Amino acid sequence: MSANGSSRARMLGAIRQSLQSARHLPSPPQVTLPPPGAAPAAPALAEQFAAELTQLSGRCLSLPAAEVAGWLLGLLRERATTEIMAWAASELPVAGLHDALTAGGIRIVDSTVPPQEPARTSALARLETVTLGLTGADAAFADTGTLALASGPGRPRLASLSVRTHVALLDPRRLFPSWGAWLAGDGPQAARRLADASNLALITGPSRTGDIEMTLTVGVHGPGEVFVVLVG
Amino acid sequence: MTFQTRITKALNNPTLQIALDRNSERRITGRNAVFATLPDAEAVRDRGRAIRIEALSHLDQYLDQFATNVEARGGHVHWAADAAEAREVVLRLARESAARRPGGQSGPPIVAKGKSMVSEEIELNHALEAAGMKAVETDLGEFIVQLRGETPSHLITPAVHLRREDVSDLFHQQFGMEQTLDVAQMTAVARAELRRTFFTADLGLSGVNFGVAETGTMALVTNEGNGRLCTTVPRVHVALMGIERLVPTLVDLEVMMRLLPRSATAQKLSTYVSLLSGPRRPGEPDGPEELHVVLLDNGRSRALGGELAESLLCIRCGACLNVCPVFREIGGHAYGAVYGGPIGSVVSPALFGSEFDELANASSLCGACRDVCPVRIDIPTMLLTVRAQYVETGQPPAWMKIGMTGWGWAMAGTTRYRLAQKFAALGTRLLAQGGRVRRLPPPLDAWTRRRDFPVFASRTFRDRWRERRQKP
Repeated sequence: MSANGSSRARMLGAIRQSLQSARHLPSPPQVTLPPPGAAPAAPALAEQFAAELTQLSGRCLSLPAAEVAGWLLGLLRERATTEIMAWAASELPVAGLHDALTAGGIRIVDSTVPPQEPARTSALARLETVTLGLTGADAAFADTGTLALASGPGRPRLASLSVRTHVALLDPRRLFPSWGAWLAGDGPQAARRLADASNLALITGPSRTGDIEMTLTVGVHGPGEVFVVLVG
Repeated sequence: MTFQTRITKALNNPTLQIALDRNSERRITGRNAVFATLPDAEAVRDRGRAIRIEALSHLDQYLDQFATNVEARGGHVHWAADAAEAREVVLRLARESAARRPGGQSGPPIVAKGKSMVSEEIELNHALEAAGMKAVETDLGEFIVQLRGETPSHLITPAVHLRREDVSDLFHQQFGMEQTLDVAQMTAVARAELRRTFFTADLGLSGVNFGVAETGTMALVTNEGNGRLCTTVPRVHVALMGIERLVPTLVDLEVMMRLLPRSATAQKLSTYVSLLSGPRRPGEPDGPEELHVVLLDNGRSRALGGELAESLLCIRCGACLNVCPVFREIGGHAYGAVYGGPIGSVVSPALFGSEFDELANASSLCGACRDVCPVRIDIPTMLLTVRAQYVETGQPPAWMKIGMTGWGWAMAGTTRYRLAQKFAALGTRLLAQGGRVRRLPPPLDAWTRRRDFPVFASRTFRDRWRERRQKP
């Protein structure tokens, strides 16, 4: 048995021994939680999601697919930047968006961080300077204003993390009343598949801290601005 | 320094008192308001308690399952029976990762640390520095506390003992920031300072809020984004996890997450909940190449079989600290333990032994901690258990033994008891000025140094009871 294998056996053995003599663990309360109620109609769901997100100083808007590129170009002009980190075209709910942005003079930075050095270090140094990130979202929860983003090929984690402004494009059909409703209602298979992503990020509004005198401050290490665009 | 001395010091520290006053009330009202938005809140708390009890009752099975699933997803699991073993793993991994830097980059290995109470528990920073490495706390509160050479004073908000003025002074000295009372400006300074750390660190270190047995997923809850950066950018991510921190399923995790952010920071959900299942996979553009989980026992398996086992249900939300009338006066440092406040006064003796028993004396047993605990841990009863341990192991000072022996003697017979009552009434009346005793004679003067003592009633309850019964 390897050293690690034997320390595993030793620690599990110690727990087992304690459990045999454990008389002090309380008995569990018998309670069943009611299943999540029926989902409200789509407009109500979108309204609740927007209200929750806005309360956290995130921003939510609805746009037809055809207008997303134009809106994004406007935002990029306002933020005085011409380059972005983005999920691959195949991972976004708006077709042709990469092309439209490129045509508008925007550079989509290659967000692959190669594992080998020195390419890794130089890629990170490059990505660190990018200030706007564009992503899709796999699901969203209306009761908390939360986005769920699974990692995967063509889905850089940094696009929602190291930038100042995060724009997420959301298919409104992916809106669920709550995290619990998503787990229960999206087909356990789908939920499991997503949770099996190496990184599932649940994002609720902009980065924030209250560490100094509990004074709320937005935009610490993560994005200070979060836009969610309901594409429909 | 004794516990008594630390308490006196805390009470006489005016800036600490201001900082505690500025925070306490807001935390409680915030927590109550956000719990009001939770449907079936009481049932959810019961369910959360049941989930934690289930996890602990079969901890060997769930831990085994968790470890197997972490490995199935490409993660490495390290089993650390005590703090020294855990430190050794982290040091080795940091060294190995630094060796993979591109040519020409020298300097000590850099560890970017997200918030982790377990890392405080194993005194990791000290070990890293002793080994010539650089440990950087990236949570704003932890960063401030580290720069001041202090330890966290609260589970959730480590710098709760400081005023904004103190932080301004600190950043002025360390980074040449102009003095300011603008918290946003101070935060921007910290962001700029820490940014380089994330992008050059050899190792990202984090805690774990919950491990999910059925999938090997680790849930990590943060607000600033530092936790996500620590677990995304560096080559190697090491997660430190106490072995008790498990829930059986993803559905259970969701229930716990209705409780944790509400109790900890008065949020419906924390800004970032990272669900981590193994390292970066083939084809993914970024993420750590290696993921390691260090499972730490350090007294937990022993505690599981003991009288304080229920304290292992704790999800480290810190709510009991915020409501505790003692914590609100003395703050976290006075406890002299990694885990302070009501739950810390049970967890510390449970994990680290009887030298922490005396912490349990710093409680009025008011029960506010049990009322606010999201998983309804019976803290007051366990505080009594710890107090009994304190007495049984002969720790009380001589004066307490003498006093208690005298008390016991007086209570053991009707005549003695009546005599003691008369004596107390007469004594306090003789000493009183204006209806209150301002100073008791030594050794009882310890009481009157800070407050008056009431005068005993001249007619005892027994007298009055007898009179009532004699009346027609």
